[in-house]
Amino acid sequence: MNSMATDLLEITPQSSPAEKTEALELSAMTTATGVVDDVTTTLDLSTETTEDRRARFEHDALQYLDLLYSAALRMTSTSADAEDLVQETYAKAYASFHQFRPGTNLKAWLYRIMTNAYINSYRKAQRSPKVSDDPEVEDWQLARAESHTSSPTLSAEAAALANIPDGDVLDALRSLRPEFRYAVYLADIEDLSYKEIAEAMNVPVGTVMSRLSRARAQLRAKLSG
Amino acid sequence: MGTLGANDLDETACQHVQERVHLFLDQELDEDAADEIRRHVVACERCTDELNVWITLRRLLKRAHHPTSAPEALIRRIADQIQQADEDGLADCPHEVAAFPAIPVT
Repeated sequence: MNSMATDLLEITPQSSPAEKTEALELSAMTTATGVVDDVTTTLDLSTETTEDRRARFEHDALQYLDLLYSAALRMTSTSADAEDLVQETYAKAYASFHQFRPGTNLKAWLYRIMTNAYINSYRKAQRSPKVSDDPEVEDWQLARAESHTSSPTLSAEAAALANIPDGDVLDALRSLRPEFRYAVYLADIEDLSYKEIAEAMNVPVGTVMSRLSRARAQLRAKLSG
Repeated sequence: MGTLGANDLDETACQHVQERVHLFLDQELDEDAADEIRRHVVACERCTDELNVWITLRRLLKRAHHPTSAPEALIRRIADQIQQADEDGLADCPHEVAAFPAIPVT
């Protein structure tokens, strides 16, 4: 066993996917039934007043404001765009909040709304100077990234990657197609499971897998190329 | 290539690992499948290096991202917007509903 393999074993997953999901759900349950128990457990949506619903929204949904804003900053080019995206997300979320079932995954629900808003606004605006839509360039880069070169090259690649400045990393992330960028963000930064990403992006798990695979290959090509 | 272990001569084993590298690192494989990957990787320097590149990439992303508090102005805008929606009755707007059905916790 070589030393890097030893290092790798220490990094390998400590918990199963089931345990990870369970932990996330437990935290969600705490939010839904622990903190807001007096609101949630006795909730009758058919008789809830506007004031009650607003209080429930402010208590339950606004706790994710920093989280969504941080994500929006990664998705958009400017902080003004990020603010607009988050504001739009909360407007849409509040407009349909009476249809949100308490006890279900509010964070994923909010992410889904933000994803839709983000991708819609992106498509409408068509302002994508930084997004690479040039398949030839990407195929060439991917071929380079995926070619199985010798181990010394790969070791050097990992070492070189580790020294890339944060700004370059974020630029590379921002240059991905929105669907790819979001999948990577939710997986690698938010640590969501494939199932949770599928829910947030409203796509099948298989689509999540292919997006992550292609997005990471593109990131690697951009940063190692 | 002289440092490679015996298992590395089996190109299909490497291929098997490469095809599952993201599932493995994302903890989406069951334990048996993950153990199969680990067994190969400890004996295969090239796959170890390949995995380390992906692990480094993920660490880079995490390192580069700094959670940011939402600005006060945004918080106020959202609060105002919620207030305004109530006054306008937008909270009963039905057309938003179908687009965002509840996500079940399973």
